[in-house]
Amino acid sequence: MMAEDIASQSRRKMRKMVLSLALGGAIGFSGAVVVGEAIESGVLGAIDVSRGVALGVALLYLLMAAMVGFGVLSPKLGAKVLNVEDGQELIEQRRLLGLSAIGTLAIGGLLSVLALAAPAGPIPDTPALGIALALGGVAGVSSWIIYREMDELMHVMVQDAGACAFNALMLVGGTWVALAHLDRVAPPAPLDWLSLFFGVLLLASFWATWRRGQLAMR
Amino acid sequence: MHNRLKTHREAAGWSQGELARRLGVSRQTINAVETDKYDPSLPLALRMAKLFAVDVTDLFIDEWQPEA
Repeated sequence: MMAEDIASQSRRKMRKMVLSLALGGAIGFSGAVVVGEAIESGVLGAIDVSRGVALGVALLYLLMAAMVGFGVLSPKLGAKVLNVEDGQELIEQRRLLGLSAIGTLAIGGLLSVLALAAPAGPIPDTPALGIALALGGVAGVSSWIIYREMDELMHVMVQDAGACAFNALMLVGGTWVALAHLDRVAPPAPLDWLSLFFGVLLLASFWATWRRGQLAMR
Repeated sequence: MHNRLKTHREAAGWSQGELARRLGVSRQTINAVETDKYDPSLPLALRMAKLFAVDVTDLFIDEWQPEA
């Protein structure tokens, strides 16, 4: 490959990385500001640390769902911000990415609803339970379909992420409850466990993706 | 494990996407194999060798040697 081609490719990858980070940062920041203002106004009820963390993790999932969904709906523009070679790759992967966006959206929605449920939040507990079950079902079914249709590298990355998440949960969650058992810290609330599950799974997924070289800009 | 997948693919004039399509895997899999981030399963390695009409040992290089 000519040196000029390599330099041009490096510039294109750098532009894409900056654009991707800027767009993700802008959407994430805007979302955080909107949620922060809603919390301060009191419209979301009494948001304690557990509920705030759950909303933060939910925002990350919703941000990812928005970016992947955008790529699926508009492959040409999506290829400019997502880590794919070109728009055609998004078209080839449309079904799996679409299901992934739906599943991620459902998880973000699930955590949001639980964080905003009664008694402290504005959503009454029975509707919150129904919505949470429905969203959990959507996330579960979409994950199951994705798992059946993914290729071998994706299977390996899912297994890597699962193993990493389990070990991280043992370390973080195990240490936390052990210290709580010894009355050294407050025990985790049920919502803390859910935030921990989904937060750690997200981090482990990024780690597994990085480990297989798939975070390098293409 | 090192491999010569990229060399064979480029010699065939195929993009990563084209090779992925022929093998029934994602482009990411081809990319990960070519950059030595992932060793494919035995069935996929055999399919790759069959596609390029070479032996698996021509595609994948293992430095290990049995003790004398």
